[in-house]
Amino acid sequence: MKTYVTKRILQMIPLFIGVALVTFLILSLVGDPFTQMMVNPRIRPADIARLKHQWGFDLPIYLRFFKWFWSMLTGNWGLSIFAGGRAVTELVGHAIGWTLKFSLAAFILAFVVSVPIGIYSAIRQYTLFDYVFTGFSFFGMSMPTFWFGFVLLMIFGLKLHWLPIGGIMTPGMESAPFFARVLDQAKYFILPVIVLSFFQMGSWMRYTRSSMLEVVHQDYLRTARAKGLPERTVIVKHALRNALIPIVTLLGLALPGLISGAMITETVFAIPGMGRLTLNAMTSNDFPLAMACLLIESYLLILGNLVADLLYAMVDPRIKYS
Amino acid sequence: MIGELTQQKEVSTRVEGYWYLVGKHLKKHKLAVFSMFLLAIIVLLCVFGPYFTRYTMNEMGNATTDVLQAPSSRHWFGTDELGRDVFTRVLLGGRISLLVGFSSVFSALLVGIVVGAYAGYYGGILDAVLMRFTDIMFSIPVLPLLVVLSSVIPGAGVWKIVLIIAIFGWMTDARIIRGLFLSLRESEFTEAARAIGVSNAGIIWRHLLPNALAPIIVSATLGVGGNIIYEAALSYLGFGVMPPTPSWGNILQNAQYAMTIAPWLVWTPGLAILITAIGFNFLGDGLRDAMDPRLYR
Repeated sequence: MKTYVTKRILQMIPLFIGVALVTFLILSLVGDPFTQMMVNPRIRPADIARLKHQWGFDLPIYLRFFKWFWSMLTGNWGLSIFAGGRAVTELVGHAIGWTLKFSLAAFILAFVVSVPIGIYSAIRQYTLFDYVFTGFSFFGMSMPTFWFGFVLLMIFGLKLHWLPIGGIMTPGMESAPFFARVLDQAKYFILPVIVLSFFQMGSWMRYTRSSMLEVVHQDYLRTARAKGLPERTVIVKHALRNALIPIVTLLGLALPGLISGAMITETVFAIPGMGRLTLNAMTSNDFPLAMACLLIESYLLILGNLVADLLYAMVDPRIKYS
Repeated sequence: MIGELTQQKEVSTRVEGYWYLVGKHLKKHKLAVFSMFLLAIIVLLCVFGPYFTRYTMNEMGNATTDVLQAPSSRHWFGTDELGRDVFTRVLLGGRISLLVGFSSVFSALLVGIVVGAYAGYYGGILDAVLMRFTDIMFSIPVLPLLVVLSSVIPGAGVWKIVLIIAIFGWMTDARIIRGLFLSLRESEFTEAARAIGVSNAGIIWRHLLPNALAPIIVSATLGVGGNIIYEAALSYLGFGVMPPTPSWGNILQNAQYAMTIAPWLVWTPGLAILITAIGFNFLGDGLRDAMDPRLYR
């Protein structure tokens, strides 16, 4: 087990570097942001040259990669080129808080709803309940995120006026008492969290259901029933434990969906999170900011997978790693 | 003995080959059959429908009386802010969205098959390099990079979108096929083929690939729906198929600005995406069940 953990962690290092390199190369295709400034007559060529040097854009690409990667590692993430020259760490730190809040809420909602339903569908396979929620999960998996966002906005925001149509809080509520502020923000959270968790709900229901089905048909459950245990004990004590093992990997599997889902959801609901920050950095060719955002998101993905793998190895004693 | 038995069977009943059995099992999966018909109708409507509608793609109606009209008998899905018939545009957009869906899956599969087959068949360093590269591509969030590639690659055509979706869509296929090839290359028929002097390329393409067809078909079916949604998401962010060429994604993107006064513009293209994606998901699920080799043992 210990060797497996060490091996798994060591394997991540080349992955970290590889991801950085590939993202760097793809982003470099865009070209450096300063050449575009040349057409602006109000910026002096000397200033452009100075900026280019400062950002390392006068170096050959491989040197620039090392320079950039080293400064990322040492925590010197630089300044954003276009967002008023604010520090990348500050921008990211602000945005990631919102995204984490939303993603975590969506993750918990999806988990709490889909796992019990998935399990119950498996126990009652081929009943009305199973059919309804199988249909629902396909519905969730096939739903275009942003369209679902539009539809909810149209119904609950524009038509019924129950919920705000985007943003993160009512203007003027920043200095309100704590509980009032939380309640106010909760209203803004409801729709984006539902949208973000909808896709996950669908796929997790399917996943939990098939994982539970695999256990339900095993011999040891028949034995448990044969020796006269009540159905409840059979399911809760015997089946559930084994069925829940693969569900641990959901942790890792959820991250890519949450990250790209967050990008769309944040755009639809005007939430100033990581997704929107990344998108804006990309479209305005803000190289330092875009790279930092992408790298953080990729590393979160890798770490999520690692955590899922390690958890899986920990909870399932049948698996022997060497 | 075994030869005799199979011979007898052939005489008494028809040969129940693999594909025959798959068809038989698929027929039992009612939702998959229903989805197949539904998808056929959608494809036929999109391909041939525009020849029969009263309006053309960019035909604008009267600037005062035909703009932003709610659905009616003249305009089934209403009209947009330029007075164009939305029904016609949704059908034409469907052509583009389906084209993007199918061809991006096809191109991604080509890459995935080549990478997976060579990695799995040759193993060793080639396998290690290709699979580490696959891992890297898997760890990068797709959507932001799609946006970058979309602004880097010149042009605004449909094929550009196909290309960039395919660039980030081949990894799952590559992993599935590599896994299959790893076990297939150890099988006896591979050894037999090698013994009679079939080249490596011959073994990969003629002997091993047909055995990996079932998971490829399943993954492709599920992929079409997913890629249609991807195209729509890209269009929503402003990096998809560019207007005036309509696609379900950019019709929707266009619709969001009129959301308050013309909600019908939002409903139809979105429902078109949703129904098509559900169809492909059900069909893929049915195919996966029907092609499960465990059923035929």
